[in-house]
Amino acid sequence: MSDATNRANAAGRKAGEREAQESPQRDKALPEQTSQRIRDELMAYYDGLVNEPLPDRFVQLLQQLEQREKAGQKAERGERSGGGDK
Amino acid sequence: MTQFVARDELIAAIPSLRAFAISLCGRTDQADDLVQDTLVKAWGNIATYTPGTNLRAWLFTILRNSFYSQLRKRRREVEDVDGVHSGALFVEASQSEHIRMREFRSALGLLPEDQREALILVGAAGYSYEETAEICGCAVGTIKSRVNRARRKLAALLDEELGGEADSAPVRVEQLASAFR
Repeated sequence: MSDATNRANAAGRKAGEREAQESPQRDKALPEQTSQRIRDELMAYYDGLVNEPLPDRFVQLLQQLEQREKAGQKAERGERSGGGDK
Repeated sequence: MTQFVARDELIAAIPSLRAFAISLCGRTDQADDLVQDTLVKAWGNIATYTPGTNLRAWLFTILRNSFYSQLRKRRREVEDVDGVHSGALFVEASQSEHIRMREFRSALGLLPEDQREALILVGAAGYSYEETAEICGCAVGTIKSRVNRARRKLAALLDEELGGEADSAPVRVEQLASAFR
């Protein structure tokens, strides 16, 4: 239970939820070292992905969608001759 | 309708949307297609988004729904892949990647998608259990149990590695991957 107790101190909410979910299981509590490794590497993994350079295709796609929508709106309003440009 | 959500807001959400996609499917090419698909759907359905609520969570929901419908379709097409998780695809590695991180990523790839998804959303993307439950369309208790199972499974896989068989998880992943081809 020391693991759960440590976490209750460190992050009361999560430890509480965890105990609510599973009845206390002495031998199933993860060693703090392992929990820490999982936390750290999970964040490092995800942050690494978030910080990857983005392909250009997404910004281009959104520009196309926006242009298409503007063209559609103009057509609907019959304002082909201009106006409504940003 | 798109006046409520500027293009810039969608653009700002792309890095985390893409990170979520890669952690779901384990491949950047498939992840990029998922992100593109999500952006098109989001643009077309922007009327269903409530301004002021979490745009990123809304996008995550669209993306994971696409991911699972593709996964179901693929599993129907390939009958005998039951039990083979998309983790088999997590073998893609960059040369510079730290060995520890590579082990971790391989282990992450061996988790069932639903557990990996819950773990990523709660443990990395910073969502609460409640928000995660909303994104995944299930009960809060289900998310808690998935996160717990994911942590335990990861711990077991990492323990195996630490216990002397440093390459066990990567090897298993590669075997799975070759069986999958």
